[in-house]
Amino acid sequence: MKTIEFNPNGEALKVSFKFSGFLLASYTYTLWEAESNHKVVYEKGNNQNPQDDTYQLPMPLKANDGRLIQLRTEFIAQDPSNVKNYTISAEVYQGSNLLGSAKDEGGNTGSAQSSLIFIKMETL
Amino acid sequence: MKKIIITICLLATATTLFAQSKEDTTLIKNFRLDFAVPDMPAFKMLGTNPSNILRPSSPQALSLMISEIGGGDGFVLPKSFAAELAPYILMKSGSLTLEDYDKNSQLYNLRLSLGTSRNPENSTTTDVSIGFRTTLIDKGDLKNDQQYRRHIYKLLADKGELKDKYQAEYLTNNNLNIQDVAQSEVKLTSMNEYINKKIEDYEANFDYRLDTLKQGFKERNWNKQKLDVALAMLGSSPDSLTENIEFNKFSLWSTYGAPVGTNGQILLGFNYNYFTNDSIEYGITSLTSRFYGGSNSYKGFGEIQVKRNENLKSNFFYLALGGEINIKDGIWANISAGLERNWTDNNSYFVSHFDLRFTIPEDIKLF
Repeated sequence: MKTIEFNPNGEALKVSFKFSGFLLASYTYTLWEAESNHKVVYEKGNNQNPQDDTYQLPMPLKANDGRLIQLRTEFIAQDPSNVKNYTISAEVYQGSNLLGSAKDEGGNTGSAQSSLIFIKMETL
Repeated sequence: MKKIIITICLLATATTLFAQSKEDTTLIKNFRLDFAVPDMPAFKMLGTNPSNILRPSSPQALSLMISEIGGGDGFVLPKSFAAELAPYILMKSGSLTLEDYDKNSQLYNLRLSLGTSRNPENSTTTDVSIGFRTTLIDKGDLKNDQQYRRHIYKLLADKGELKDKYQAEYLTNNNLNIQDVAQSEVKLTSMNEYINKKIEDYEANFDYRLDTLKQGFKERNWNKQKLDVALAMLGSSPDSLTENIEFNKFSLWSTYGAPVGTNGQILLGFNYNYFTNDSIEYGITSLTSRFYGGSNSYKGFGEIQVKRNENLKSNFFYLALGGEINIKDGIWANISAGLERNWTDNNSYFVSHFDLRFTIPEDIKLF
């Protein structure tokens, strides 16, 4: 599990999901409360429009300390004969600065595939 | 004809061997649709067929065509050969996003073909051709079908939500919180096994629905609206050295395909050929209409073509019948016979044509 540190007094936090490898992908994004099974945020989306695959983390920023980002993706490669690999990533930004990212890479099979990414948020 | 049959049998056997143990059609191994392999500009330039229509079709990463099969007594060799590949697909590969494709689908469809043919009258002269083609409209391509995408997104979203539901169930049943699971490989594996076992039935149903969706699309869409444009040039070399090639023929095609009912397709084609050498230059213009009837795997066609040859100051009329058969996954045979008439000289000729077309079979991945 990836841990990403942020400045609790800095700019807003956001997480952005990216899907490459010519995929059709549907995902669920969950922001889990620290040390709890309470869902602070639960969103559903797909990669049809990449512009809406970015989410701002709740304010105040300090409340995100210890929270866990979960990205669950179900996907199918559109042209596995030609495009053989996929990469799914979750990138965390503070303002416009990339703080870090977690990614899942693998081979396209042409049948339904799954990916699960976790990122733990911690204050500096 | 005997040699042709032997070749088809050998190729069909080879494909069967490659594809063995991959006959389970209930699982989708691959989403490429095995529509007919298209004509290639470079192959057309070799002049192996009197028809000047360039049939549009969906792009393939790599396809091959051979024609005029003949040769020694012991083995069958093609006299004409061409290969087509898609450079953008090969260049972008794993970094390609859905957005990239949607913005650059014409680049994705750009194909480069190379062809070569030996002169049947001597063993030294070689013709070499280079062609470019792109598809401007392709409503038969699964990758462009928004309705298909909506179906898939819905299926995938349902599956993701179901997994989240069983994840919550696992956490509750085992009195764990998600952070404990996320930082422990053992616990994470255990949770995923629980979820996957729970959705086994859904998974099987999901693959079945996907398979049905693909097959239905394939049968319904072989004849959908298409528009291809292509350019090619032909050079001849008195020997096998590439530096001696002189390009003396240039060609432009535009072909529009539209559905006729559910089982028919009409093609309207334009072709202009420009010939030049030290002593002469002239053009040949063709207008062709071809009608296909049948299904994706077996089609018959009728064709009418009018052609104007400025060098001969002659008008030609070509009438042909033919068929296209999917012999095996990735192997197509195309056969036609017809009559070409020179209206100016009042001469008529019978002409026939046969070629084999290959692409990567749906259940084989080379890359």
